[in-house]
Amino acid sequence: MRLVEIQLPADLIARACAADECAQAAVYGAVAPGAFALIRRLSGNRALAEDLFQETMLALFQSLSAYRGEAPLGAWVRQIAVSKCLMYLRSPWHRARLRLSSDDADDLRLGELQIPISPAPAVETFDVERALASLTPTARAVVWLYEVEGYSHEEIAHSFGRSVSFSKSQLARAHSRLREWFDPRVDRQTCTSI
Amino acid sequence: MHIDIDRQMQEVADRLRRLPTEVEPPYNWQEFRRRSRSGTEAALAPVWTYLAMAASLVAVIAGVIVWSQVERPVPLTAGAPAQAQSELNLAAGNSGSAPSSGSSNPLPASGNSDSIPGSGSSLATTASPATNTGADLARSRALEKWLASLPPEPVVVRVGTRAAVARLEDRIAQVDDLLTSVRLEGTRPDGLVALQAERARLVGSLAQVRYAEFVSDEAP
Repeated sequence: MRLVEIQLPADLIARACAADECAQAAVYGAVAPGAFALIRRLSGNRALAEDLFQETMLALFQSLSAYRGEAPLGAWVRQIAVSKCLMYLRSPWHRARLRLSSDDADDLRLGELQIPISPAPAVETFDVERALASLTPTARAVVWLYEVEGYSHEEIAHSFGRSVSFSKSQLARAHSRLREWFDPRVDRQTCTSI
Repeated sequence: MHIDIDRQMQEVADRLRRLPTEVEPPYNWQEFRRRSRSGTEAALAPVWTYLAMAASLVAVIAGVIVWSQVERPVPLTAGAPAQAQSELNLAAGNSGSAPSSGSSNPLPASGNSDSIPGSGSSLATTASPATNTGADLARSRALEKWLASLPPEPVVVRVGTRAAVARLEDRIAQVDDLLTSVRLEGTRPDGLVALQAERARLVGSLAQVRYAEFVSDEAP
């Protein structure tokens, strides 16, 4: 089940708000796998994903009382997770460290990538994971939010604090790179050989 | 061409959507709780550190203030023993002079020598000798008690004040010698009364000089 579709009973959420540990554990068990998967996709780095996941879950339980139940709880958690990830991606420290500007996308070498490893992934899944990891963090976040999470360009632009053109250009570049990646005429074996 | 690109983009999007939507989280609920607690404690640690530092600073400042208050000469308003104050007032009332108008001032009310027994001749003439003697004794004892309650003299003193105090103390000692002699003889009761009045007057003067000295030391 996708994170955005996760809906929990209102009484369970109410008990979680009232610091009932059993209810909180149930909420955690319901939303944690989806939240961690989303954060893994957006961050592209397991260690960073764990930190962001911790922050997301902490924010969830700290502000659970503010949840009004107008949307599924999963959608609310997704919004928190996306905010945490984009906040990190937009931070000057992170931009300086990873040279986030789209201009240096070509500088990114496969050897610097952090390949997410799911438990016993299928071959295709592993390939798509590697393709995603080959993108810059910004392009990866944009393509994931647009194609999988269903965000519009306006929403993405708003989340990044940038223009709609920024979102569209990032998406185009990401698609171009992914098409290249999945093009059977391109032999990438040399890239992965050690 | 465009159709081909659109198809490829659609394929890429489908591949992305087929990725697992759930991934085993890095830790379970108990571990999350443990990390949350340690994270909260770590986040609160600087706050507690600052609070502890602020509390220590306040404690040090308070200690310095208290210590300086203890080291300073005790103000007359608070330092004069209540008993001496009451005895002084009582003695002033017995001698017919005006009682202290302000309870904060242990000295006689008007601050002049008229209120000190024996210093004003009019008081001595209007009251009987026996009454005057008793009042002089009481007032003298009260003033001496108040003098004893004064803090020790400062190391640095004014020469003029110190000379006046020394002269008064010498004079009081002489009167004490005379009083002893007269008491031993037991033949001159009127002389005894006069000496007691004189002694009370000297003690009053000494108290006034010491009070003036104290006030001048306290003045900024």
